[in-house]
Amino acid sequence: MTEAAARQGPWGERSDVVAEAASGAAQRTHPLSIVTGFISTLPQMLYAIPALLVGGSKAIPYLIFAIPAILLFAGAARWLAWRHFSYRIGADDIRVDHGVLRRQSRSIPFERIQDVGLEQKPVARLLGLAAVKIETGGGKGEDAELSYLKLADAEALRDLIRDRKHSALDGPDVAAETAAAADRSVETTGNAASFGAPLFAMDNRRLLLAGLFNFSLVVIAAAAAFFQQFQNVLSFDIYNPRFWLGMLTDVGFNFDIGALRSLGLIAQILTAGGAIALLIAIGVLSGIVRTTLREYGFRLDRVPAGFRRRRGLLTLTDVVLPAHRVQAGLILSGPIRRHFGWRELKFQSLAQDGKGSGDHNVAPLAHPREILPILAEAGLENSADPGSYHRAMLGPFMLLWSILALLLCIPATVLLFLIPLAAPLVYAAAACLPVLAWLRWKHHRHVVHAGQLYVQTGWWRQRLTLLPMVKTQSIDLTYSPIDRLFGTNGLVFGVAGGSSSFPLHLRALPEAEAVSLRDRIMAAVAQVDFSEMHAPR
Amino acid sequence: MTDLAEPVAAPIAIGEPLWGESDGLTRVDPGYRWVLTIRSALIGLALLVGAGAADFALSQATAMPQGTVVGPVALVVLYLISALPGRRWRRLGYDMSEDRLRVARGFMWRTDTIVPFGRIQHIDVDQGLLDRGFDLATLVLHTAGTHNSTVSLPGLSETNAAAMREAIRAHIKRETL
Repeated sequence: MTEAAARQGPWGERSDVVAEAASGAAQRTHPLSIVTGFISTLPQMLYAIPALLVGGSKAIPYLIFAIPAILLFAGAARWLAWRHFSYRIGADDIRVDHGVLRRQSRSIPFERIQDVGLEQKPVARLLGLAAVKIETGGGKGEDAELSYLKLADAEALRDLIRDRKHSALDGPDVAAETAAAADRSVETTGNAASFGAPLFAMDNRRLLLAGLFNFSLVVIAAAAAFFQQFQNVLSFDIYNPRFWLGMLTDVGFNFDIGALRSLGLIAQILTAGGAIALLIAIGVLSGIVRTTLREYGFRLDRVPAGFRRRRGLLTLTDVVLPAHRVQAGLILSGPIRRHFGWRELKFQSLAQDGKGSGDHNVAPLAHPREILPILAEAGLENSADPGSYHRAMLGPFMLLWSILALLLCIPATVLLFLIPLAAPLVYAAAACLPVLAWLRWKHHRHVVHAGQLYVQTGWWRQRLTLLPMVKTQSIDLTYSPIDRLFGTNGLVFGVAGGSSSFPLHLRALPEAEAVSLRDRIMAAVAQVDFSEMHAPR
Repeated sequence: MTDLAEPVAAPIAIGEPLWGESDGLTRVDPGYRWVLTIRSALIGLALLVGAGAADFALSQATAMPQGTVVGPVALVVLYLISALPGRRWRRLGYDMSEDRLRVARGFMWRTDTIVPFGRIQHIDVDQGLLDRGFDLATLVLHTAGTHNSTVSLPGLSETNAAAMREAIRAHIKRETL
């Protein structure tokens, strides 16, 4: 159907592409796309040729056949792919159909289009072609690519899509839209004047304190990993004590292992204590150094575009996180900093904060009262009464770990007869498992308050997620065999940004509570018009 | 326990059945059972070939009677082909309402997903080779969430999938006005 509808002009020359596209007729990309696609596969052939040449002169007859055959095959595949690719610019959406064997038909409503851009790769540029890339704000790059069109057509098509998009959005001003297009976090060199008092800043004393809390033995782990990796190259074994003893002797210490033994228990304890103190010192120092490098001169400002954060000692970064891109607030605290009343605030956002984590650190070490104004600027609050939180059911948390603990008791009992001293250790370890599970349950709480979902998790490193209900993208209600045993459900929330392997997860809620919570959040979401969601406020 | 300031927006369906046939879910096209059966059969065939090879090697090397591996594997394959597709089909259902799509699947580990139409970024209708043989299609909804960035509903008839896409898209349009 689409093939028939895709009218094709004379080879390479069609001036009315955009006019036809605007009328809603299915369009193919420019036929020269086959050539660009074909040329882009050629470098792969270069790898194949030396591999074939290894076969010596015997390979040449095969090569004479193989190369044209492969080229023909690649060309035919490109041609097929091109013939089965078509797009239509409808009144409400853009349709992109493709696939030879496995067909896909994509519909992108104009209301959801975030950005339309052009891209010219070298080969395409030589042929005067450009790709039109369409983004809809999902976390995974562009969502449709029309490659390739003649540059003039591509530009006209981009303008057409932008026009349709604006009329679809009931004509908000173009300036706001271009701002929305450019609203991913931009790293710029810090030069603009600052606006009055910062929303949050850290002086050197606070920085030092943050460094102390960031105690980490990562340096040692990294060094160990390094030595492990280069063991063979280094020609010595760091796990061999003789190597270290030998080194000490080289420097002038006359070390005798027998002498160490004869020093007695107290000396050995002292040595062990010294080693532990050294480890702690390294951990503290590395924490301070790493924190200082990253957070030095930390300053968060509220600028019209959003939150502007400047920090860094050697590498200065200056990042603007648009306020409307904030999906949720995360208040974190470790076991020691919690004791002293310190918290860390992050914003979950679609824009990435450096590599790996999608959460923007907006206050590395702050008092709860310093956090509230930052939250307020993002339209969040932390006002739920701590007593109003709901707990999950205990059973599903305990079951597996209790069974595991009981299983551990079997080898412990066997050990009781073989090595009586070791058995209590295993018993103790077994007893720890249910205790840990209980702690995890005790700190797994949630409450809905003033349109926000509060989820508290983790007992060692506590994490409070403040999620406005309307920022929910989807909700899973999940059952596992354990849940079925206890009549409970889990709720897994689809939220933009954050980790995909550890989504926001409420475990072990009684079934009626889980179902009603989901309905309540979904009702809140359904009342909102999201087309304007990405527009700056 | 809950805060009283927050009015409950929708009637709460406590105890809404999530199991069995009367759970408010629509089953997908019966033809999808065949797609599942053929897929199971292909996997089963691969398993049988592997088991046959292992069986042969073992019977050559040791005194094991032939069929010690193939026998149990054949039973598993029989289950894969005869019982599992029907069961998976029965456990897969959807419910499309005014403003949201609900997709539920699985038995031991059941997942019941709701996507509000207002949160859909774009919509795909996919057709694999097997789907094409039975005029079936998979509706794929893309959301901005990191978890559930795509929610797919397989086994819809081609016309139904297209109609659902139009309905969802029309809703996105309507919401703007």
